[in-house]
Amino acid sequence: MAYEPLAISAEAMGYQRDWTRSLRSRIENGAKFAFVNADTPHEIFHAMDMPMVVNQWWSSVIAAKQLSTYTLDRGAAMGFHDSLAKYSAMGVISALDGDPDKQPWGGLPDPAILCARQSSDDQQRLFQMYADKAGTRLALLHSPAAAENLNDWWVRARDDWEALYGTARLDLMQAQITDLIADVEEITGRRFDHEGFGAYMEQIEKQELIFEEASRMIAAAERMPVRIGEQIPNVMIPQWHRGSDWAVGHAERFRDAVGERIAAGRAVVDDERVRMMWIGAGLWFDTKFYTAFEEEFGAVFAWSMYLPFAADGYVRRSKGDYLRALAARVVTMNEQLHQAPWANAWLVKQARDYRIDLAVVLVPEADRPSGYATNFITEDLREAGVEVVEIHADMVDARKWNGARAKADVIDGIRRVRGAT
Amino acid sequence: MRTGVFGFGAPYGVFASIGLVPVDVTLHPTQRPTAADRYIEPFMDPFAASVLRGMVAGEFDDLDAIIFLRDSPGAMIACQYAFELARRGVTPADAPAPIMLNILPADHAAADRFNRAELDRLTETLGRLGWVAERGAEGHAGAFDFLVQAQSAGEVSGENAFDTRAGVAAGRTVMAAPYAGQGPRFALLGAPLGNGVLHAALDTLGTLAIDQQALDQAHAARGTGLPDALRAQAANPFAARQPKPLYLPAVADILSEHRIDRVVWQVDAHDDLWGWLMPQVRALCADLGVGFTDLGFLPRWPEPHDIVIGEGV
Repeated sequence: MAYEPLAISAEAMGYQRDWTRSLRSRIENGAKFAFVNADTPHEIFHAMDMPMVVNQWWSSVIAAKQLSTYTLDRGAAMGFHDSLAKYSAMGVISALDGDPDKQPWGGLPDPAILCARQSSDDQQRLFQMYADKAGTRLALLHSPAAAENLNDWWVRARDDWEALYGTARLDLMQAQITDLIADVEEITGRRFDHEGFGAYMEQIEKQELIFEEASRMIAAAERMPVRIGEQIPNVMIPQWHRGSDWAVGHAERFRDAVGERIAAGRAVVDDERVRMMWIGAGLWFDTKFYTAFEEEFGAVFAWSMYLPFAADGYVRRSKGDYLRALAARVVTMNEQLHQAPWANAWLVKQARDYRIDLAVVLVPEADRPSGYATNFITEDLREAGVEVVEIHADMVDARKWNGARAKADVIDGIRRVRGAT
Repeated sequence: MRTGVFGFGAPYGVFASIGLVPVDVTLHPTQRPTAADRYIEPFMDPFAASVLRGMVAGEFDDLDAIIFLRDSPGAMIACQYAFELARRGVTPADAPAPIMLNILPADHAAADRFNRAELDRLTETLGRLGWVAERGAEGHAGAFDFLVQAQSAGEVSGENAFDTRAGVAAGRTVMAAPYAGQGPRFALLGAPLGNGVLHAALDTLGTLAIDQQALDQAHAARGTGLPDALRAQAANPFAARQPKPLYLPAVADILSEHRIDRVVWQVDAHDDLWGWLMPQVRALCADLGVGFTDLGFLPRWPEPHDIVIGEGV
């Protein structure tokens, strides 16, 4: 039986389309907006109703408009060498280029504020260039490292985050969030509502716990009920709008739709033989890759980080101090996905929970922070009995994507798994 | 007890203020494969890869601890790998203990509180390892500043200045040799290097008057007493992760102040930081009438055959 998408997937896409139109309209009508990285405290902008364009989401829009090759070639023409990161840079290069015919929406007006965490070494350079070009204020958040990355972070981070992340780091992040609030208050002319913010944070936690239920249901299902190509928009669109009534409601609808599928015994492939996990950011320019092994091999991608990370990466119980809980959510956000032993230990746990046979690891060599810890990850997965295939490619740079080669490597991996059973 | 430090821009003034004078292991080259290599990705920062190999090979066994400077590119990942290699039993038990240290190049109140908390953690950690603060400890700011000035004056060659700084930082007693530089004046900018081979090549073509790596080192080492030394970190325009837009104005100043004729730019093949600045530096040079040569990618410990330059660079 052919795979049938969830009806709610179209709803999510429709919601995002309407929101995008509304955002574009607000911006074109002069609304002050923020341009921010994905790992910054979006909650502040949401809470103060300040429109926000997320850098990495904007990169995906550029890619979807088939403008990534043009944009990256323009970056090369500007003099940026090819080893520099692409995912966080494409939106900045597009803005520096400034050609309205070669940017989504004819280009963004100048943002009122830019916000980035210095989680990787290049963020201050990238965002400074944008700030100079736009004449815009820049909120750079320091990103000091933990004294030591302690496990089991996904357990301790929910309640014991003060000890896990360290009081000094949390004090610093909380102070920076307070400064950011002052910036946004000044830009918008509105006051930050601390009481309302608490209620909003509770809504976010509710949403993430619903996603956790959905993740557990999928992991436990006899066969995969939903493709990861559908999981990702059903998680990430609500995550961009986290804490809103729509987002919480959609998380519930997604969980329920997954439950119905499992109860009905429906699966991505009837004859599921190999379960795979995709480690790394989405392969935005070739999402069909995720389904390419279903029919011939009964091999289905069951896991991507986006769904399980919703709970593990976001649930930080407030204990009455919502700004500090937000600091705990942000202070180490994406590092947990890429640094040893946080990443390797979490991925092994996820592989076990989802009964994974084969892990496909995206290794973006021109994005060092995303590529580091690869060898720890592969070794630990293999020790846990999971076969591993590495694909050396970039999540947004289609110029270097060798789809045939990647497919052949995954097929070899599937054959190794099947040979072992 | 002997303590090492890994990373560029070591805050020697900060260290001295707490009675610590660590030896710099950043430039120590360990290229030969070790048991760490199965975990080292090909795109890893070469200095990070080298220190990890050195720890596994026992080349730092005279040290009890190595402080990794998070704000130096590659050092954070090196420290995390060092922890992980120790946890996996890859690193010998008697290897130095890795210590992560964050000293933010910022001096707003929250950063100042954070930096002081980090230093408290450092002294506690070192104390548990048997360290005792050294009374009257002095950093290397005087030596580094002297070398910057002497190099600009053409009294020390670029290569000799590099080697002398490296020796001072590594705790060796070294003296710069007299020199009389002449010819066009160069500034070497971009990513830090592990040896003086490129410097020697430039010495043959003119006066290597300025080396960004040396300026970073000198700025970071400054400050007498903790408040002054922390302020020096915030004011360092060459700090890799400097959050303020200080780098380009500082480059403009040094090109003028040191009468530079040509900037020579280079980075590592997997550079993910300095390359974002190159077009702006190139444009700045064009505005100022200063020559600009981009050597592109160079190994961090280049051999003479890696350096392809000649008259006019």
